[in-house]
Amino acid sequence: MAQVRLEGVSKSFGDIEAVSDVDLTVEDGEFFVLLGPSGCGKTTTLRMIAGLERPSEGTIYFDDADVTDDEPAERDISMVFQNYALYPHKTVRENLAFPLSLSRRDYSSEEIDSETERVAELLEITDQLDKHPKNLSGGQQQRVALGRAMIREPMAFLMDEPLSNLDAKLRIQMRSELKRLHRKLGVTTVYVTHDQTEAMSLADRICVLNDGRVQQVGTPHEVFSRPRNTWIAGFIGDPPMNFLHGLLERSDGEVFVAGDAFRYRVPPDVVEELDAREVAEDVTLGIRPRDLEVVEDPGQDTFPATVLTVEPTGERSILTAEVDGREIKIETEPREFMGMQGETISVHPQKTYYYDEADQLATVSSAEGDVVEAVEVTDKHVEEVRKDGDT
Amino acid sequence: MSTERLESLAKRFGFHFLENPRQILVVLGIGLVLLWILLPVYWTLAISMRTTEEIFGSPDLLLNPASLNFENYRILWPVEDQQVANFSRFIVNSAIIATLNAVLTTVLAVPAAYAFRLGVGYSKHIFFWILTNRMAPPAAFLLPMFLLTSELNIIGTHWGLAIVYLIFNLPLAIWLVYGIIKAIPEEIDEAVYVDGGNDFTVLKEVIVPLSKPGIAVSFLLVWLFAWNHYAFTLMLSDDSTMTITQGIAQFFTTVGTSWNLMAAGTMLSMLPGLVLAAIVQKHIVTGLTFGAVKA
Repeated sequence: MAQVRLEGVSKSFGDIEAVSDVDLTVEDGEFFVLLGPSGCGKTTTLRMIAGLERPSEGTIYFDDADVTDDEPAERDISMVFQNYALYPHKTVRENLAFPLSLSRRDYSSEEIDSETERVAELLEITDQLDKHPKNLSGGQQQRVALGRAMIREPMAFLMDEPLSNLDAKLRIQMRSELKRLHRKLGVTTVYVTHDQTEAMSLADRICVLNDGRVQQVGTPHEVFSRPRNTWIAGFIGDPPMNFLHGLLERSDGEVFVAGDAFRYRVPPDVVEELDAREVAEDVTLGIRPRDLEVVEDPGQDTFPATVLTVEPTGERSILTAEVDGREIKIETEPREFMGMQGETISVHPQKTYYYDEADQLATVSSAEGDVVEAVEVTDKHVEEVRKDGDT
Repeated sequence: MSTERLESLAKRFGFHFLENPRQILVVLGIGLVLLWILLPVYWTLAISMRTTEEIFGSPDLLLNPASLNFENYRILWPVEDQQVANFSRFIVNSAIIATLNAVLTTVLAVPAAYAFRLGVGYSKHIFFWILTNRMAPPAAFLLPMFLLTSELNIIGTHWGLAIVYLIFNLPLAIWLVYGIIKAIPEEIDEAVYVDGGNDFTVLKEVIVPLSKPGIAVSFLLVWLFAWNHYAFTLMLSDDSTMTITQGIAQFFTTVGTSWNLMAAGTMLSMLPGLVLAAIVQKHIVTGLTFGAVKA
C-alpha cells in the first residue's frame, strides 16, 4: 500500500493535451475517485499511474519513490479494466493465479492454490473456477477481474469504470460490494468513473476533472455543497444546478441580484461575505432544482417563472420553467404543484450559490443548515468509518 | 431420379428448388465451381491408373473399376534401388524442406507480426517493405540466390532451400499472422503488463495461444507453397535433395512424356498436403477470443 502522488503531470497525444498540469495526492488507504465527463482525461491519468502511458511532463511518486519511468510490472499495482480484459483462453482459476505466477516473489504451487481459493471465496466465485470467461455472466466476469487484481497485495488498485458494463441492478450491488472490499483490504484505490452517483457513494475523496484539468478535489460532500465553479456545480447533481446571470444592485441597505426579468434579494449573511470578498457586480446565481420552492405570494425573496413543462416521476415532479429567458428546473413534491403550462409562478430559492466574474464560488447562503459545519462532520465521519474498517 | 426424390434430397440440404428458383442458380454455380476444381484432379487420377496405350487410345470418361491399374504407382515406389524415379526419397526431401521452411517461417513470423502490432519504430514502413518482397516473381531471385547459397555453401542442402523459401513465405506469413494478432484487444496485453509481465510474457501467454488457429492456417499455407515450389529446386538442389516437383518433371523429357507416371507422381504429391490440412483443421477452432473483452 502506498500514497500515490502526481506532480505537474501532463500528457499530450500529438497536438491534443489530454491531461494538463495535474497535481494530486492520493493518501495511503484512501478510496479516491477521478470523476469527469468522457474525454476529460481521467482514464489517461489512471493509465499514467498504472504506467501504461508515460507522462509528457511531470513526476509520479509511490510514497517517496519516483516511478515515472517504471514499467507497469515494476510498479506493483493491479488494475481492473472497463472491459475486464480477462485471459479468454485461461480458466477462471488460471486467470486468478496468473499475477502470482508472474510475481517476483516465488510462490509455491500450494500457495498459489490456496490464494486462488481464498480470493474465489471472498468474491463468491468458487463454483466458477474451472470455467472459461466466455461462459460467465457479466457480473461473474467482473468478479474474476476484481479477484485477479486482489490476489496480490499491490501498492494500489486502479479501476477504470469497472461497473459500467453491468446492468443497473448489478451495478448497485457491486458498488456496495466494492466499498465493503475496500474497507476490508484498505488498499489505496484510484477509481475512474463518469457516474457521479458512483463517485459520491464510493469515494473518500473525489477529484473532478474537465478538459484535462483538475477542477476540484474534496470529499463528496464538499464537492456537492461547495462546487468551486459553475462547471462543477452543473456537473454534480441531477437535475443539474440552475444558473441565472445578474448584476448586484444596492438600494436602502439591501442588496439585490437583478436580471432583465427578475430581482432577487440577497440574504444578509451572503451580503457580508460578498463584500468581504470584494465581488464585482457581475454575478452568477446558482440554485439547485431541489432548493427551489414554488410559493403562493411573490415577494422580494422570490422571482417569477413561466412554466414550460411538468414531468411527474412519481417521487417528485420536475418543472421546467423560464426565468429571464433561461430554462430552469424545479424539483417539487408531486402534490405541491398542480399548475398549468404557461402559468407564471413565484419561486423561492432556499439556498443560493454565488459565483463571481472569474467563475469562482464566492459564497453559499447558509439559510438551510450550516455548510461549513457539515463538511467537518463528513470528514470526521470518514475517519471513523476508516477506523472501523481497520478494527 | 424422380422429382419427389430430388426435392426431398434438396430439402435435406436446405435447398428449396421449387419454392425458390434462385436456389437452382446457386446450386448450378456451386456445381460448376466443383467441376472446375475436381475434374482435373479426377482426370489426373484416371490417367495415373491407365497404361500409355489406354491413354492414347480412346479412353472412357469413367474409370472401369475392373481394370484399375496400380502399376504406375508401383514403378514410382520401387523396392531397392532399381527404379525409374525414387519417389519415396523425393517425398522425404520435399517434406523435410517444406517442414523446415514452415517452422522457420512461423518462428520468425509470429514475433515479427507481434512487433508490428506493438508498433516498434518505423514499423509501418518496414511492414510495407516486407510485402514488396512478394511483388517480384520468385524467379527474379533465382540468380542472386544461386550465388548466395553457393557462397554460403548451403547449395544442394535441405537448409539451403528452406532458407531461400523465406523470401516469399515470410512476408505472407507475417501479413497473415498480423491480421489475426491485430484482432486481439490490446487491453489483454495491458492486463499482462499490470499483472507483472513484459512483451515476451504477452507473446507467450496471450498472443501465441490466442492466435493458434491463424498460426496453424499460416503454417499450412506456407508449407504448401514450399512443397509445391519448383523453380528454385531446379537450381538449388542436387541428386540427394531432389524434390517431388522435380521428380514429376523428370517424366517430361526430350524423348517423350510418360503421362501416366507423371499423373501418378502428381497424385502422390497431393497426399501429404491433404493429410497436413486434415491435421491442421482440428486446430482451426475459431471463437477462442470471444468473451475476452466485453463489447
